[in-house]
Amino acid sequence: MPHGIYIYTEIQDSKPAPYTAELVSLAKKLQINDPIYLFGLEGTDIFYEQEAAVAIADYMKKNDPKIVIVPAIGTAKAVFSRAAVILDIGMTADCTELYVENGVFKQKKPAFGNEVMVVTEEKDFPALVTVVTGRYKGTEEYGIEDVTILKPEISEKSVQFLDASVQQTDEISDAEIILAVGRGVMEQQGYETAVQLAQKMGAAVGGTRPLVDQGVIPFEHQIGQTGCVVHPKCCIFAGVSGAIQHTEGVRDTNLTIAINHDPNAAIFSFADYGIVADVNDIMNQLIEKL
Amino acid sequence: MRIAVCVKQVPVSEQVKMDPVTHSLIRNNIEMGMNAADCNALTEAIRLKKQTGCSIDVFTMGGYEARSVLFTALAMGADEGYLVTDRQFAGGDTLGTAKVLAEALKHTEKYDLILCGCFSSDGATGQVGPMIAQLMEAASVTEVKKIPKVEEACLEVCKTWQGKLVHLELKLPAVITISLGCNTPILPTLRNQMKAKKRTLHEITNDALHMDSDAVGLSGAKSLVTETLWIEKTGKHSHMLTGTAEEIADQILDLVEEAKH
Repeated sequence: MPHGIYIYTEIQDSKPAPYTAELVSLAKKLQINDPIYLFGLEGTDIFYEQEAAVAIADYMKKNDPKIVIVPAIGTAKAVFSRAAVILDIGMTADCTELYVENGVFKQKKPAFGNEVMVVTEEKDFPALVTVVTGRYKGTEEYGIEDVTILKPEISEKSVQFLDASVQQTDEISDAEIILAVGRGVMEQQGYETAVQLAQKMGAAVGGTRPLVDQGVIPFEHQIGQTGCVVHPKCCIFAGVSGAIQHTEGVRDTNLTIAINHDPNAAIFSFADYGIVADVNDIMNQLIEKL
Repeated sequence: MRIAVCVKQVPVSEQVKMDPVTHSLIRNNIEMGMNAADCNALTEAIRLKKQTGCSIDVFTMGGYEARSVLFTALAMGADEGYLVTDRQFAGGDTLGTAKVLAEALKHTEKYDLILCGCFSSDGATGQVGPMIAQLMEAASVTEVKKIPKVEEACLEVCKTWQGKLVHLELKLPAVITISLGCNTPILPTLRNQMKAKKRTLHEITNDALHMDSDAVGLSGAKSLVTETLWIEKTGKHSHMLTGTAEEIADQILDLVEEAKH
């Protein structure tokens, strides 16, 4: 009988990743009597996708889990996609909610961007799901001793780790204030103004997908369903329409303020405070005052 | 060197609707185009072609309408286009899709390098690329940003990870997925688009692949969508701030100041 909830984590500098506690609390909320186990990969082993997948599939075969919860991060997705093939099981991506209904493990996730959430379930065991992390803050602390660390057998070395150089990326996931710019700002040539305002406020600039697609902002700064999930104390939406794939990324923000010239913009049913005005006018006024 | 690129046709518009009964995308009257990350992958492949003189075959799975992304790919600079199409392939999950594509690739040629976009803008799972790699028993690196070095039997690739730029060496044959936005996609000229439309595409159906119909398509799907929920309209409405631009700016700054503490 499949048994147990298995949570994957990555160990860096002898510590499980910060999302570990969050995933454990999600597993506990399912309120099924299965024990929870942590397992994972350490250091640069995550880059050996082929060998790591074999190690994970072997571990699954040995332990026969009921549920496997994986953070929806790039390295983990790659390895588990390969492991899913080995085990010939489905894999449900980017879930935002996990629950049990009439004894059946189900997930909710946004689909096709705009209007819908879908409910998903898996045909076989283990039910393998990836979960968007950074939505809740877990409270408990976990150490390396709580995690079963899998060691991929790296023999032939089809992939070779050469080096990792530090790159200047200004991460927005830790920012206290985020200025999220949308298409409305671009249409009015307001991007420079937005950057200037962000600098004065000490805010990070995030943006929605149309801006990433146009290469205006880097992918790392995309907020929303396929971008990053952020926890700022305050988020100001400038010219953002408010489609769900953008607002999904900032759901737990304490204060949200939206500026849009369209009084019917969907963002006004999401933000705490709204302003119907020309985005540039307001941004320029703020710059003057700071 | 022989390169294959897998591309997907996705809705370009943001106004996408789902069929509430079948939980699949309503594709009628929606503008479709090549998935953005796949454009980056093909652009990277064409850059390698210029460097090494390799050939590029492009694969897509879908109905007859998906031919248009193959014509786009040919106009961008790909050599041959393959439409992998069969009623039995429709409605599959990521695993089913990967199985069909991997089989079509194996059926066609012994490729040294297979490129995919790192995820599609509609499904956004990022699973199909690494799944193809596993099915081909090839090495893989996902979310590649750069390919600084190409040799006969290996590649050097870069990806970002935890704020670092990681360099990896990869032995061929291999599958890599290319990060969205890592290059400026080639825009095909009108003339090349006209020329491409006159080209003949290759068609691969299950008559050629002989895949077990229970393993692919809707009947093979193992990850199931069971319900579509329209996002509950909460009825919430923002508290509207009014006044002159200056008055509004003052109110915003007060609110932000308060939120910081």
